[in-house]
Amino acid sequence: MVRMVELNIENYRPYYLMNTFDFSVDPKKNFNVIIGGNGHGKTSIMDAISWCMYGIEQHKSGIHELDLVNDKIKNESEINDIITTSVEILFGENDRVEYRFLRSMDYRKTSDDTFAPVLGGSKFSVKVIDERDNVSDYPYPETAVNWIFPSKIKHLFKFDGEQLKNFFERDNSNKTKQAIKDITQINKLESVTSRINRVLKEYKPKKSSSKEIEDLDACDAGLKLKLAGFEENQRKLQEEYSAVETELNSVEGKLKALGDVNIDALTERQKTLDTTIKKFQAEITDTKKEKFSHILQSLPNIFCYQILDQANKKIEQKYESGELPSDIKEGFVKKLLEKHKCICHTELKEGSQSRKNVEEYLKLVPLSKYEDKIRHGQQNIGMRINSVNTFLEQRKLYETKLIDLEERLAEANEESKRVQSLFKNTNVENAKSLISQQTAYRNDLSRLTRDIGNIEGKIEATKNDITEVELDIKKLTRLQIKDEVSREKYEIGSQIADFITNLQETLLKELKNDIEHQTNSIFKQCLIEPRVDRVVITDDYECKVIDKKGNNLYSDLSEGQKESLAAAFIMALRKDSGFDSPIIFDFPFGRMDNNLRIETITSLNKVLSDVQVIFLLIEGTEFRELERKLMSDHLGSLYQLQKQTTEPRTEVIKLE
Amino acid sequence: MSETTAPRDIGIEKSTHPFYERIKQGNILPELKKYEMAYIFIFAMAYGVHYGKRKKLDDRRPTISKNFLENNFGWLIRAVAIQSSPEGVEIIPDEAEIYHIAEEYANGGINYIQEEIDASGPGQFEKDMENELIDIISNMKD
Repeated sequence: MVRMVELNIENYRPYYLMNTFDFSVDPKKNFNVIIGGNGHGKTSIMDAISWCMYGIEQHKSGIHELDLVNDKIKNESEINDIITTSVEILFGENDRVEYRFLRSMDYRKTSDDTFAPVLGGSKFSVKVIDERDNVSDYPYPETAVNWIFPSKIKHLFKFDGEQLKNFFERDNSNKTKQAIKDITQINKLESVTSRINRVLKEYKPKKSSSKEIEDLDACDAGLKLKLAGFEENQRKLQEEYSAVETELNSVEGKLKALGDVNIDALTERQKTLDTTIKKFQAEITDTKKEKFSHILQSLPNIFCYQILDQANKKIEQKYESGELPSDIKEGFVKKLLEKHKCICHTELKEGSQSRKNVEEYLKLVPLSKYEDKIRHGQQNIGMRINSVNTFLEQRKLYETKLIDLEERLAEANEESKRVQSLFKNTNVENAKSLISQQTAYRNDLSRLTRDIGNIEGKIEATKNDITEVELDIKKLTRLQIKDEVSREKYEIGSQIADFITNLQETLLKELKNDIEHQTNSIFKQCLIEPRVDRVVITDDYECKVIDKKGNNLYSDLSEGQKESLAAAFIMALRKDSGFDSPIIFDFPFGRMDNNLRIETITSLNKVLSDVQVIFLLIEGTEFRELERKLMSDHLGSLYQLQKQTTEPRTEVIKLE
Repeated sequence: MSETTAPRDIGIEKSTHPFYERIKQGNILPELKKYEMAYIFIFAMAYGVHYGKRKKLDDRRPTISKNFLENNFGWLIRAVAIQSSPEGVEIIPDEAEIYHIAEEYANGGINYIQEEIDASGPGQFEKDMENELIDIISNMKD
């Protein structure tokens, strides 16, 4: 039986410098109790063991924390000082030490008062001591852990009270099955099976290969049918094409027989001529209208030409004679007469010629007001006279245009007559009908050419599809032959895998039955509960406590009974696993009342009779005189953890 | 010499109004269809002037906008007045008289046109008119 002989903790968490726990290795004194108040360092012991063995603290996830250093040593250190934190566990049988597990970490104090891990300062070693006390370093320390607490089943060796009490509370079936699997070598069979299955994948016959060939055959047949349909359509279209072509040739022959007259061109020419004639006629009408409009507009000026000319001359005479001066300032002239003095200082005496001249001048005042208007009017009259002069030229333009239009109209009419005469000499209706037929046949031929082209495209595509499908069929047929060989290999491999799976199931079942038997036996040894008939682990791996009527009593069990049931199950597992390493219980009775605690301790005394146990208990609550008495038959060592009030460290005091 | 203002609307002889309307509607001279009444008035006045047909209005009917005539034919009308009146250019301030002369020539002219059309028949009047214009211009050149 493997026992923890000694635990050395140095500068780790609350432990200042080196602290040693010597544990009892006496099989009868198998309980080692460490007591302390809350925060005094009990859980740190659990963490220290976990850190030493696995590099991870029990209550921490992921990698270990950067700084595990005790605060007191921190305070005492100087910048650049190197502090070593270490945990060492000595295991052995009876009182002989066989393995020393040591994990340490060096930290350097930095200038900002933090502690940084030193590069290369993390060490883990396992020393093996033989019967002659020769000490040697085991080269693979990480695997050495598996000798004592294999990582996979470490949860079966370290518990806190809550964990144990709730062991079967949640996910009972899976947890039970997994625990049974974990402690046996059955998992190795599982890995063998999965390895075989991985290999078998390569030989696994393609499920669908024969089905695929069948499908492809059907597809091939369908495509060939489709191709036949297309080819039939193509034949019909080609027949139709030939028939239409014959008809077209016949019509074109008839048209040729009608002569060289191009009816189409002739019809077209006639249309053009009709349009041209209409256009000329319209232009002639418009030009005549424009010409007459011009006459009408010119008429007043022409009819009044002489009057306009003479009026213009009269105005001109007025200007020339000075009888049409620009606006005369009547008031100013009258004033000159009143003053008898002209603006040029000439005397305007009564009866003088000068005065008479000014008085005459004054008579021109009324007309002079209109002088500006008359000047503009004279321009208007001049324009009218000029327009008369251009009348004939403009009229000649109209005349010329009309002659030209009429000549062209006559030519068009002449040509139109010739075309009509050609029409008369030709059987136009017959020719038109033939041309219409010719057009229709030509359209039909275009359509048929298009349709034949389309169908030829489809035939080509279908033939390609058929070639592809037939290639696939050939490929798959070759694969099918290959598959036959693989199938045989696959079947043999499958049989082996099935055999191993069955074997695994059988072994697991047998193991389950054995563990059920042992759990029942251990649990009943320590239980004073008349209602309980037996503990069973069902085919679904659910752990139940059954009464005589077959009812599951698990939920009626007290917390201590549940803890005992879990402990009994773990003990059964341990027996079957072949590992008999110590068990560590942290805070197992913390939330129990007195009676329950007595019941539980009494039970555990029996259940854990042949295993080394390290209890981490709260002083004064979980461990008092009563508990000490109850455990006294098994108590091998008793340590007290005392947290110092003056400095950040816990003192370890050995009480027994 | 007196300064007067022409009436707002220039008058025609009441009895000639239907003839004016027929011309305007294109019933007599298709080419004059849709011409303004003012234009037909000037057309008639030109005939009156050319053929020396000046006729007093017995029953004057104000019909044609003086402003329209003024803007388009104001100095043709004044030229007729200058030449027809003993006052000559001095008639210019007497607008009422100027337009009165125009009304009388138009009245004489429209009667002449009516008689000519009645006499020559449709189509001939236009040809005669065109020939007359050509003659006038030919004579001018001679």
